[in-house]
Amino acid sequence: MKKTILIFLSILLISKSIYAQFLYSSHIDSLMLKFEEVIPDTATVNRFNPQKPLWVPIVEGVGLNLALGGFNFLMGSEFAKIGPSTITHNFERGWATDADGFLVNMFGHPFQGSIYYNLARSSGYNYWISLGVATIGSWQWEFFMENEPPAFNDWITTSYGGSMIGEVFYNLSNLIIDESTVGLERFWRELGAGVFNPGRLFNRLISGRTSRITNEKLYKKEHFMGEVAFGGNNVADGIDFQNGQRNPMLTLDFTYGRLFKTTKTKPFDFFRINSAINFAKQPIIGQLRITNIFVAKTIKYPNNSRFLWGVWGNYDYLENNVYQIGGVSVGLGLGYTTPRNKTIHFLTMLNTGPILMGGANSEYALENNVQFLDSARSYNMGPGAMIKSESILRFSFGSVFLGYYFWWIHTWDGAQGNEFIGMLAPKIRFRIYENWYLGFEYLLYHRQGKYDNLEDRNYRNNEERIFIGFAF
Amino acid sequence: MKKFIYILMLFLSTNLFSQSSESLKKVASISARSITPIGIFSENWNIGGALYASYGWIYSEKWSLIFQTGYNRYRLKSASKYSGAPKLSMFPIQVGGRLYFLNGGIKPFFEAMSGINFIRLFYKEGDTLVDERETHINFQIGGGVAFRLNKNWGIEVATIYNSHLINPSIPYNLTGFEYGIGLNWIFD
Repeated sequence: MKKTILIFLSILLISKSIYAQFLYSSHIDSLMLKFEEVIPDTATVNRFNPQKPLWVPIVEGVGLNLALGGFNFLMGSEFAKIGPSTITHNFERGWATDADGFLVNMFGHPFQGSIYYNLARSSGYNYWISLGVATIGSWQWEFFMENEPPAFNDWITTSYGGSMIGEVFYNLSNLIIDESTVGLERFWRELGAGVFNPGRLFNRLISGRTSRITNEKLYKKEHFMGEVAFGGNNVADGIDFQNGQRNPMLTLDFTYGRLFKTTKTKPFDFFRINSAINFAKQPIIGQLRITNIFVAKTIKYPNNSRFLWGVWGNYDYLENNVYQIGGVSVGLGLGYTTPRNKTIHFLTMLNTGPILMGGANSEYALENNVQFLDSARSYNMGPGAMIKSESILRFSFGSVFLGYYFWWIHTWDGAQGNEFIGMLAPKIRFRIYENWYLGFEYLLYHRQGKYDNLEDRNYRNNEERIFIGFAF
Repeated sequence: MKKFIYILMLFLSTNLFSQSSESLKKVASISARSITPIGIFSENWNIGGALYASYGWIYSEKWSLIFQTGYNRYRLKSASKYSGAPKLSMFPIQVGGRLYFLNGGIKPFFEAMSGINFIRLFYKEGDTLVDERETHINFQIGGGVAFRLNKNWGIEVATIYNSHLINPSIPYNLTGFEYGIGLNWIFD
């Protein structure tokens, strides 16, 4: 909880000098703004931040595992009691799945993976090499650092999920780090960037970059925009609008980069974050969703509308008292936008592909112990597929948004069968003053569990949200 | 499930190819490996052999994308529960990548591959012949060293760890180590 709040505070407080540029922006959207993007000169970067040999981040990752494993051992964790016999057994047993909680498997492991990832990323490597280093770090943890069979689900979420969260954190920390600053401001910038990117902070500390002063532009900073909103939600125990659990919540929507740019794209040149923190009656982390492009091509039409297609990635973590949905996926993405002007603007996106590893709650899951472990999960887990569709119509006075999301998860280990989950999410925002908005959002969540040897299940639930947001 | 794996492979390969821009090299390889089963798998099956053929793209001298297929076969242990000249063979189709740690004539590498094994187990149970066929996701991780002999030819040695994913129903998990040597042809 504290860490999550610190992440939000870091973004909001420490980067205030950056987003202050948007305070008096166009009311339609920050898409209209001309942000002073920083694309560093490669030769200068290589001079100031030369690439380290590849073995350095790999060894750092192993060192991190030893430190974490040692900490777990000292804290008395049963799984941390390892030795040559447990390592041998893990190799002999091979991959399995584990019974960790939803938060640990779907958020904790990706966060751990983001540290491996950023050890490599901050050593001068690109997305793909850093993903490889995260994969090695996670694999070493699974086979060597726990006395439980190596969990394949952890390996996927830690490496690929970790790379997604890691690259997001890397770009966010780029926005915060400013090596031309000194004193208290510098301290807070380094700390703020390091709170959610400890791998990078570690490398900056040991290389002396946290205390280096230079006016050179060494870190990429792209256009970004977002909205912080505070409000409340009502999660109904069915489709009743009145009876439910009311909960105050804070949300942050953040968009980095330009989606429809015509120049060559690299992984995470564009990404979006949708996040929510609950303060009562619901799980603390209500939502963390990341959508990014790996590669994309944009076609520009004579009327200045644009069509885009490419390969996109998704990290999803959604949890409240009714449902749990999590997963990492990669797939095809399509987008279309009308010409941008100050009165009206329409944008739509469709994104579909396989879920490499996902999870969804099921009342039957607890009745199925994970093989080789004497415990069960509260959710079914496995690969699957997803479809996401989002459209937004922006006016000078606000916006209308319609999203529909669908996940299919095939159980690998748990209650055998398939989980089909959908979420319809219309949202409307009105500008009430300058960059302040009043918004309403409705979520219709539906889930169908089709099981091999059990009675099928169908559920529908309502959630309503009202919020006041500040767009930056 | 299979369809989605194929789709994923297609997406990944399409994505990776489109990222290629600098110092791209294509490599075709054949390799022969000895396989040592470990764990439950080794209770019935002895050292096996594998022959692989692969085709890959090396990007920026640092990493490569590889497609691989081959044939694996294991020998029965004398104290095995199976009788009637049982045979265990596999036909793997894999995709994966390598990270090279050095440039030049000697290139140590780390490798991870995954894909599908089409498995056939043939044995006799009493007077009945049992022919089991299963398909499982496979996983390999390991390392080795590639030696460049001249402009086009190279050899490599590798040690690879094998595991099948997620509790296969055949009563073994096919864990083991592969030790092998390969011959590489690097295209101009």
